[in-house]
Amino acid sequence: MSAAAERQVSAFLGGLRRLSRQVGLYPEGHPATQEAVELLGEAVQEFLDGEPEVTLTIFQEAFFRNRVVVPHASLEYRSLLQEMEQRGLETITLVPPISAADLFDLAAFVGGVSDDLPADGTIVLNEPMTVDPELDPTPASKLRTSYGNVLDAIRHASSAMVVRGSFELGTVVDAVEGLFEHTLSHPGAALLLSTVKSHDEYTFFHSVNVCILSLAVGQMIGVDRDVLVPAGVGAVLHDIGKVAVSPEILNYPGRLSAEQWKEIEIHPQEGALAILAAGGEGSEIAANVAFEHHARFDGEGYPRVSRVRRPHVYSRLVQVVDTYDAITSRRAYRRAEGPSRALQILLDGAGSYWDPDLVRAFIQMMGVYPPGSILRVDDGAIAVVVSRTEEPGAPLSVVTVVGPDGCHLDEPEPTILPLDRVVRQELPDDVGVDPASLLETIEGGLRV
Amino acid sequence: MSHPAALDRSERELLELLNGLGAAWVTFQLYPNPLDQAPFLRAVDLLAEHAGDLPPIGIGPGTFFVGGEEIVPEREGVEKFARQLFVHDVETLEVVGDPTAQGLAAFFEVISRPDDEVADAGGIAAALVGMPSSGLRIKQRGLLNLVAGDGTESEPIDPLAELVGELPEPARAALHGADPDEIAEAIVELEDGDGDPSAVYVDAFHELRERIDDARADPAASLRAGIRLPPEDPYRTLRSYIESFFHLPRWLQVEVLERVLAELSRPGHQMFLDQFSGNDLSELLPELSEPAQERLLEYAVQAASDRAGHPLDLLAGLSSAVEVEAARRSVADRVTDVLRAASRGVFVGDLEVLRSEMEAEIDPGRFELEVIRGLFECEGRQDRFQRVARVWTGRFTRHLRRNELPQAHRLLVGVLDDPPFGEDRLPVVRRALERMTTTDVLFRIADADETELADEILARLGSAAVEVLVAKLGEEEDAARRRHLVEVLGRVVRERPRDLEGHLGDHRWYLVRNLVAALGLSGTPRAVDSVRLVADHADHRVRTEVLRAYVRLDRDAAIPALVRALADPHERVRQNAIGLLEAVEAEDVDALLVNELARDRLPTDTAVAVVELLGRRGGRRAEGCLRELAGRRFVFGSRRRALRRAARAALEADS
Ligand SMILES: [Fe+2]
Repeated sequence: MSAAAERQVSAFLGGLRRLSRQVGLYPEGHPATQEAVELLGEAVQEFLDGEPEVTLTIFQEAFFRNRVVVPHASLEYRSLLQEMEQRGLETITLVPPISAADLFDLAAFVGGVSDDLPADGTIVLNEPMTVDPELDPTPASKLRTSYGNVLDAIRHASSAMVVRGSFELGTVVDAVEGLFEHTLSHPGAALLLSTVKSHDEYTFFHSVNVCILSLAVGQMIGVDRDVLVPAGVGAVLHDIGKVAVSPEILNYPGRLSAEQWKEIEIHPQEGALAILAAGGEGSEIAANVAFEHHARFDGEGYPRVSRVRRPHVYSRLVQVVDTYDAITSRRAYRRAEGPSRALQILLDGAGSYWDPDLVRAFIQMMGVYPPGSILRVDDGAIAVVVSRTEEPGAPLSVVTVVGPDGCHLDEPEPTILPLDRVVRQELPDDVGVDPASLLETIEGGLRV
Repeated sequence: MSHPAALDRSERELLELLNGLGAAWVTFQLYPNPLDQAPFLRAVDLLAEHAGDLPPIGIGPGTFFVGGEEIVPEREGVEKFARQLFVHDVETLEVVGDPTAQGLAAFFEVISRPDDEVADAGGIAAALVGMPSSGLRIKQRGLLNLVAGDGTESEPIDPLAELVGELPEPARAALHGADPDEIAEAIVELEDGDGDPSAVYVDAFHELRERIDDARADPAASLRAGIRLPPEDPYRTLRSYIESFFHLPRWLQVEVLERVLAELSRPGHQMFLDQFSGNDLSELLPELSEPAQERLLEYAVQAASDRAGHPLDLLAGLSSAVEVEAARRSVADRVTDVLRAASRGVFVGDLEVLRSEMEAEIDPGRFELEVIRGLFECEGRQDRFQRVARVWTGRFTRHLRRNELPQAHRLLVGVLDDPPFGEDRLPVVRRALERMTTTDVLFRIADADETELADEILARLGSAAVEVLVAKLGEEEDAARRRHLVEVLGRVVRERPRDLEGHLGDHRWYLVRNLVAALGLSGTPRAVDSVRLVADHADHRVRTEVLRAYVRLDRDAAIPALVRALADPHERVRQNAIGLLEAVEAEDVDALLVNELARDRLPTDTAVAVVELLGRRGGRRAEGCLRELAGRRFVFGSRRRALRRAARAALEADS
């Protein structure tokens, strides 16, 4: 599934989610609703992509567009997916030109506002002919599902924090334990999945990635699993205090003023406070990670308090992987850097910003080209690294996703790539490749 | 001017629609119930049919425009319709679908109103809000006119409208939220004569940035102009605009960057560069002109000193593009070096250290205290400081509920004994403690097995606990619970018995008695001073309690008071004094009692009781005294006789 296709599906689901919320609030014909209908109409055009009929299938916790799984959107629109499953939706078939009334009915149905099905015949729900078992043979992997559970947990925690000023820690702990189960058994795949990014929900995805990467480092160091769960909970929640920072500042595209910085800097203390208020087993350690995750190795950083000790090892671990994932993500004020540049920044700051031992352990775990790295090959093809290489200089295990002719391949091709054939690293947005979406392909391949 | 013969399909469709709308407009004005009339229904059908496939239709005084071309109305009704729309400042009309007859009628109704009435009510756009769907969307022209009240001169503030003149269609669409690659495509497709594409690109960037700033400064005005900035991310459009840079061909990227660098101090230009990654810029650097390279490297130094770090730090400290290439290569080399060393086992020891640190026993309570202390220390905002205090007390009571007294103790004592906040914050912390301190909480503390820790906690709750317990004591009817309260209160005031003095003047004798009892239970000799304040209390029950408290607190100091109480006007007090004296073994008690008898001022019953007491005590001095009393030959009066009888009886019992 190409990045473009993911975008089409995401646009449709995003529009549908917006409208289904809208219809609960406003009556049909209200300007706000009308506007949402229009936006959804535009998104539907993109979703249809000129085809005479497209079916969206909801099956086994994943979305399929015309029977091909759409992994990223399945993750990003997980709550919508669950709502649809609850409403008994299995397929949505769109037959253009789509009528606005049908869009409205669809949204009202999904939102649980009404049981009326779309009546104009341009949108058909659970059409018997299209519900057949011949879906893409690789449904969303367990790993992705557990990733989604953590994502849900942090979403709920954040919204609970906004609404009530506190949240339940227990659900987060459960979700993290689930994620650990699958990360430990498929560390390479987990690293691949950790390259998944979201522009709209940067903080949430970032938090789950930081959790996966922290666990992977812990595993490489050889730490007992039980010990890592509280560290993972801390990793997931480290930035939860950002809900207290005005989004306008978080999304500001330039360098921040001293004033704006002051507001950003409250997030560790707000996070720690929220976690302590939530209580529950492990809350102390998680709160400590949140509180310390911007306290530098050399005693600088924020918040400034008279510390009697260096930040705890969990906090230092989260600092390293937090930085790595942040640098390799596109954020409001900076485009993404490639993995090797991120590793270099970590090396530069080892000993001042970060614990040098942990930086080296992290690099050792990631390698020069960690899973998910997108490589330009000397013949012009583009390949994605799919597993870790233990030995420096050893050939890479990759799948080719774009051929030498520049065309995206229908079926990614697994190959072994000697290091000297790598020309440079590419970035997902620049080449239209989403490494994380390869997860199911890789796992499917591994099973054969 | 279009001629019917030369019309293409879409123009014919447009004419058909406009004719239909004109006919419906006339129908609306002529018929009392237009909804039943064929032309009206036909217009609704036409609107449904053409939904979304027609471009926005511009409105002139009696004509329509599409893409700059005038559509001359063929019918009078159409011309009138256009004129009426123009009167209401409608700039464009769009067919958006989902029409209803009611909606179209409502639309016509609004249009038919006098223009000044509509203007006074906030304009045509406002008047249409909340109406049923007509299938038409309007854009209102020159909204500021209404505010400013002047003619047609004032500028429209819609940035999209303003950019229309400068950007081709796809770019405009992009500003409505299209993808960066589409924006880039629009720029590249600029035709000759549309200007230098890099200039257009940079100008549009400024236009957009400024308009977003305007809109943020005055959201209401921007809403009226049809700009919707997502409040949580007003710069999203600007970011995708900058992102489109990376979809431009390389030569155009270089030209744009040259322009940006040429005027680096111009507002927005640094923001533009800040959006790039270090990689982006280092790749483009070698292709820039020398002055541009210099400026970029200079900016890199400046930006890299930024507290947050900066993508440009990759370039900071370098002096030329050649070095940049080398620097980039060294990145990979350094990472490889680390990996080589790792594969030789160089870091095994470090990993071992990390592992043992990670697996070391964790004491959650230590983290809890440290984080709370840290929060207290760094929180400068008053309201959030209060919240910290509440979370702190909340965690304390949670520990209590779980019977985790040691943890509760550490959390409370660890903050109070070495406060991480300034003096000025103390009242806030006190208030939080007061809010937390209920009898339930106090009982939980007092009843814990770890009595020593419990006492330390109770002592620190101090005045907060005193107030709660005293209030409760005043109203508690159950004797057993009252006893419990007194006990807890006694432990609370152990360190600071004077905390109770304020309540000793209470008008309720039973409360004062309980407070005295609590002081007695506190066991601290310093409490004697407080007890003494009510030694002469009007109620004998208080005076009795005072005696008990004395004995508990300071036995030696209590004796004179007990002896003095033998002369108390109330019998019960005297009896109690006797009882308490009996338990005191000190030698000098006998002497004091003997003296008291000698002074002969005690009531007879008490004097007899003292004689009996002396008999039971049986010391040398007591015996002497008894013999003296018993040996008297002649006594006068019943009192003396009673004493002699008692003394003789005591001596007999003794032998
Ligand atoms: Fe953070």
